[in-house]
Amino acid sequence: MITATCRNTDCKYNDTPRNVGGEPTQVVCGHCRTNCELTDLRPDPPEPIEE
Amino acid sequence: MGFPFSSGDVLTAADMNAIGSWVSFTPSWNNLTIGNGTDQWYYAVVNETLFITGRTTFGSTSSISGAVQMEIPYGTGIMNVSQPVGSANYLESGGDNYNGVVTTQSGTTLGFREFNVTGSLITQANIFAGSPFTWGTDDQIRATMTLRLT
Repeated sequence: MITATCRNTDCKYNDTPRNVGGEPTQVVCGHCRTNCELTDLRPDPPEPIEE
Repeated sequence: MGFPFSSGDVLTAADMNAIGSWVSFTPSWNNLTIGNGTDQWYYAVVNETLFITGRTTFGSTSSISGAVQMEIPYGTGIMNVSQPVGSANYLESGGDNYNGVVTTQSGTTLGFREFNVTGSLITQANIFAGSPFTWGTDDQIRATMTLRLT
């Protein structure tokens, strides 16, 4: 799950994380049209097993 | 509104590839608090035409407080004569899938409407907290629409 947060301090969605489906690499705030900051909340992949 | 190109311009591959490419966005909703729900919406623009498609999946803290509307995510305005601009459906998790329509509500907002039966005719009305069902976790709003940018 990706979380998108608008960082535009003038936007009503500023600092409001939103869950976004579809694993996008870029998300635009639908209110102020600026690019959101993305956080990937999926757990890190397991460490490879050393032989 | 429309393509920014002028006579004599040389278009690059990037210019061409950007035409109609889909952009992920977080909708700005009126009367819908998304809470811990999930939005999966995209828009694309081709000259004076705006396409929007996607879905919202409700979470345990999502709620509706009135007629659900979405702000357009691109441009300064759309043609608005309260016309239908796309189809919608409303999925009740574990239940039925209800058909509806998206209409313009203003020059910048879109309304999500449901179909009702009145006598032998089909009518439409705004979806709200209790209709077409009581919204809860994993219920979904889905829609696809085509708009004229002005």
